[in-house]
Amino acid sequence: MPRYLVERYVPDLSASEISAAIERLRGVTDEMAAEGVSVRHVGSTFMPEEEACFCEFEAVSRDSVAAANERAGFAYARIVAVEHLSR
Amino acid sequence: MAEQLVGRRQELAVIEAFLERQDDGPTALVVEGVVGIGKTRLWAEGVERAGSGGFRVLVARPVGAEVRLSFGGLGDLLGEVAAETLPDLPGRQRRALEAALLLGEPREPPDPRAVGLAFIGVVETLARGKPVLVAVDDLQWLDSPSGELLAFAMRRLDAAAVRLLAAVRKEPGVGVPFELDRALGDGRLQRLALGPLSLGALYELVRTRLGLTLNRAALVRLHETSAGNPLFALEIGRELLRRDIQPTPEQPLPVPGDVRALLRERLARLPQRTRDLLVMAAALPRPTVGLLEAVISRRDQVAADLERALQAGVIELEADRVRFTHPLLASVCDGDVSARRRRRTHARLAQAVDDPEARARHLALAEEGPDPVVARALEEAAAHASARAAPQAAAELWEAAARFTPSDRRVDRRRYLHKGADARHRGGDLAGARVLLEELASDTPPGPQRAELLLRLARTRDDDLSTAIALCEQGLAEAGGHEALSSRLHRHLSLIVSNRNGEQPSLLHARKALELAERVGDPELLAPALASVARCERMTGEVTPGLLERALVLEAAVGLPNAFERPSVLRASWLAVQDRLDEAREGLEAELARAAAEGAEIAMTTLLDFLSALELRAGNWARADELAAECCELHEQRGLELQGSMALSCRALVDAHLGRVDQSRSASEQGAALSEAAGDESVLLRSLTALGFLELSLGEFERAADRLCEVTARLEARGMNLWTVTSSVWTDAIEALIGVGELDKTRAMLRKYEELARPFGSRWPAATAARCRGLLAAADAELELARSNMRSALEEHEGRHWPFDRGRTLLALGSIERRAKQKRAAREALEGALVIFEDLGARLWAARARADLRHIGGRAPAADALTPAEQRVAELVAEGRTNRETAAALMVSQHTVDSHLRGVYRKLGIRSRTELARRFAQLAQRADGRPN
Repeated sequence: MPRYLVERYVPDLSASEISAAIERLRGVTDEMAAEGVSVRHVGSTFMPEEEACFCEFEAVSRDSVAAANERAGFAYARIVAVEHLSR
Repeated sequence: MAEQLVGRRQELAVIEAFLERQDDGPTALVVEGVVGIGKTRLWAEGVERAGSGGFRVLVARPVGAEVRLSFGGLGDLLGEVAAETLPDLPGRQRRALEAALLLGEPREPPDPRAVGLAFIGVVETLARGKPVLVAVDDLQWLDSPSGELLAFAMRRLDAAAVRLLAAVRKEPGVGVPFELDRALGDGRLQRLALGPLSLGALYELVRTRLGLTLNRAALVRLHETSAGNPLFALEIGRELLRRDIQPTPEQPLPVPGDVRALLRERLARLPQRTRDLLVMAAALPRPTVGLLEAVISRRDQVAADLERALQAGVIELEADRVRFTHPLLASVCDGDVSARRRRRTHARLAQAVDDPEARARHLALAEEGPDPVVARALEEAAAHASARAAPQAAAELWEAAARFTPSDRRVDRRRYLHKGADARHRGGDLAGARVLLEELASDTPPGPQRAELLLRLARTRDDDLSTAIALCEQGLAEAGGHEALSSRLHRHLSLIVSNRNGEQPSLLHARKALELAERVGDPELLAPALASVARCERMTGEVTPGLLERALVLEAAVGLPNAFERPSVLRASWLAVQDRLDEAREGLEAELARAAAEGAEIAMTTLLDFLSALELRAGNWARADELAAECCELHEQRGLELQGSMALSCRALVDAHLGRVDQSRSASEQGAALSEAAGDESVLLRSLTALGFLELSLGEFERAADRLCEVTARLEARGMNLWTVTSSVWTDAIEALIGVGELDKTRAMLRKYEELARPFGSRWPAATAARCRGLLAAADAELELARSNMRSALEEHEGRHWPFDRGRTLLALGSIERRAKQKRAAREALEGALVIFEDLGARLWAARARADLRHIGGRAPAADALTPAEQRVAELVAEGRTNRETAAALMVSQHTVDSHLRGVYRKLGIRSRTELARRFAQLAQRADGRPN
C-alpha cells in the first residue's frame, strides 16, 4: 500500500500537545478502518529546532490521509507520497 | 495589534513566569533583540496577558523621532491615571508632577526629585489595589527625563508590587538603558534575548499574515535569507506575492539582501504626495491626524494619503494618533530624504506644533548655522524644560542655544552656557557642568566674574579636594573687593579644608566668611555663614554662646537649601553631645524625614550616620544596624563617592560592634581606599577608627594600638576635638596601649583626652576616663585604686543609658576583682557584663566575658546548670525584684529577662518566684556552712 508523509509546522504546540494530537489521529485512523477506509499511522518524527513534525501514513490514497488529519483537527502544510529505499 | 503571535512559546513562558513572580520589591523583564525580530509583538502579548491577569498596566511607546519631548514618556504612562491619583499626593509633589505633565502653571521650578517622588507615590497608590505593570516599548527611545525618573523610582519602590516590562533594540556594547539593571540591583532585572524564529514559526507567520504557503525548499531558503527575522521574512514574502514568484531550488530568492531596501521599495510604490506626508509623520515625535492637517492644511488630501498608507500597511491609527507599523519604516522614510529636504520639513513642522520645546527643536533641525531667532526659541524652550523639572533636557537646550548664537553675541552665548552648567549641576551631571564651566572660565578675564565661575567649578569637584581648594583660593585672589562673593568662597573653603587640613584653618575661613557676611548684611548670606561657624566651633569645642541660636532664627526666616549645612541638624546632633540622647534622636529623625521629603540624599547619608552612632551609644544595636544598612543602600543607589566612604565607615563600625569580623574589615578597607582617593582625611580616620576598634575587640592590642594612636595623633593635629566625645577612639587607644604595656604613653594620652574633652560638657568622657584610669591603676598593680576608679565610672553610669560602656566597665572591674582574688565580686561583675553584651549582640566582647568567667575557676558547669546570664537574673529575681526592675538593673530588655527566667525555671525544675527564692536561700545556707 502507498505511503505518504504529512509535513506540519507546529510552533504553537508543545511536545506533549503534539503527542496528544498524534494519539487523537491514531484514534481517528482506527475509526476510519472500522468504517472500511484503509489508513494507518506508521510513525512520527518531531524536529524541535524547526518546530516541524513529519507523520508517515500507509493509506489507499492521499485523500484518505488528508481526511484522517482533518477529522482529527491536526493542521498540516503538505502531504507527499514517499518511497522507502532498500538498504 | 490584531495579529496572533506566532511561535515564541518558550519566551511567552518566561513572560508568564515573570508576571507570576512573588517578589517583595520591583522586578523587570527586558526583551532584547535586533530590528524586526518581533520584540514589540511579544511585548504586546505580555501587556495583554498582564491586563487580563489582573494587573494595572501603564504603557509608553516612544518613537525614534529626533525630537523627543521631556517627560513625553511619563505623560504616556500616567495619562489615564493622573486624574484619580494626583489629588492624593502631598502638595509639593503634586505640583511638581503637574508641571512635568504640563497640567498647570508651576509656581516655582519644581525639583526633579519631587517629580520622581510623586511618580513613586502614584505607583504605590495604584499598587495597593492591583499589581502594577509599567510597560515600555522601544525603551531606548524613551526621553531621558522619563527614563531617569523610571530608574529613580525603581531604586526606591521597596515593597510595592511593581513590574517593568520593556522591549529594547539591542546594540552591541550598549547596556540596559538608564542603567536600570543597576537601579534594580541583583537578580531583579531579567534579560530575554529574542533569537530567530524557527522554520515552523516562519511557515505559520507567512501563511497567516500573507496567505502565502511555501514548499519546504522555499521555506528553508526564506529562513536562511531572512535569518529567521520576521520583519525581513514578511517583506520577502510580500515581494514574492507581488511578483507572483514561486521560488525554485536552483534560483536564489529574487529580492535584495537588505530589509531596508525592501521597505524602501514598498514605500516607493506609494504616490509622492503620500510619501511626503509620511516624511512629515516620521519627523514628528507624536504625529496626529490633527497635526498633519495643520502642517499640510488640506484635510481631504491628508485623509486620502493616510488611507493609502493604511492600506499599504505602512501606518496604523490609534484614535487620532498615527503610528508606523514598524519603526524601521519611519526610519527609512526619514533617512531617504536629502539634508535640505529634512531641514525644510522641520521648518514646516516648527510652524505647526504648539509645545515650545518641540518647536525649538524643530527650528534647530531646520537651520544649519547660527541664527538668533532659533537661539531665542531654544532659550524659551530651555526655560520651559526647567520649569518642568527636566534639567537635563534644559541643559541640552541651553547648550543648543549657545551653539546657535552668532559669534558676535558673546554675552548671550555666555548666559546660555551659564544656565546650561546650572542645569547640569542640578541634574547631578557634575562632569558635564564642569566642562561648560571650564569653557566659560577660560573665556573670562580674571576678576569677580571669573571668581564666581571658579567657585562653581570648585563645587563640582567633590572627587578631588586639592583642586577644589586651589580653585577657591584663586577665586579669592580674583574676587577683589566683592564681599558677598568672598564670603561664599571662604565658606566653601571652610567646608572642604576641614576634610583635608583640619579644624583650625576651617574655623578661620568660616569666621572670615561670617565677618564679610555681617558687612554685607544679607540674611541669605548670613544664615549659612553663621551655620558654618557654629559647625566648626563645635568641632574644636570653642563655642561662641548665642551664635547657633542666631543661626537657627535666620534659618527659620530664610530657609537653607543645603540640608546638611542646616543649624537645625547641628542643634540635634549637639544634643547628643550633651548626653541628651532621646531628644537628639527625635531631632535627627525629624531632620531625616525632612531631607527624605526633599530627596536630599547627601544630607540623608550624613544624618543616618549620626543616628547610627547615637544608637550604638544608646544600646539599640539592631536599630544601628538598620540605619547603617540604609546609609549604605543610599550610597549604592547614588554612587556618591564621598558619601560612599562615610557609609562604609558607618557600616564597618556597626559590624565591628556586632562581631562581624570579615564584613567589618572589608568595609573599613573599602572606605579607607575611597577616602584616600578623594583626599578626604576625616572620613579616612573614621574607617581606621572602626578597624582599630575591631582589633581591640579581638584582643589584638598591638595592632589596635598602632591603628588607633595614629588616628588620635592626626585628630589632635587637626583640632578635631569633638571626637573625644562622639567616638570611643581615644579610650580604645588608651585601652590598647595598656594592653601592650605602654603605660607612660597611656598616662600622657589619658591626660590629653580629659583636657580635650573638657570644653564639651558631656559626662561620657568622665565615665570612660575613669575606666581607663582604673585599668591603668590595675596595670600598676594598685588594685584598690583600680577598684575605686571603676566604682566612680559606674557611678557616672547611674541614671544614664550607655549599656555598652557600662558593660566594658564591668568587664574591666571583673578582671580586677579576679586579680584581687575576690571571686564572688568578680563573678558578679563579669556576669553583669555578659548579660549586657549578650543582649546587645556584642559577640566578641561576650566571648571575652565568658573566657574571663572560666578563668575564675571552680567546677566545670553541669549540663543543666544555669548560664551566667541566667544566674544573674535568677539572683535578682530571688531577691524580690520584678522582671522590669531586673531588666533595668542589668540594662537589658525585659524580653531578655523573661527569656532567661524561663530557662531558670526549666533547669531548676521550679514554677514560681517563691520557689526560686527558697532555692536560693537554701544554696546560700549551704555556702555559708549553715545547716538546711
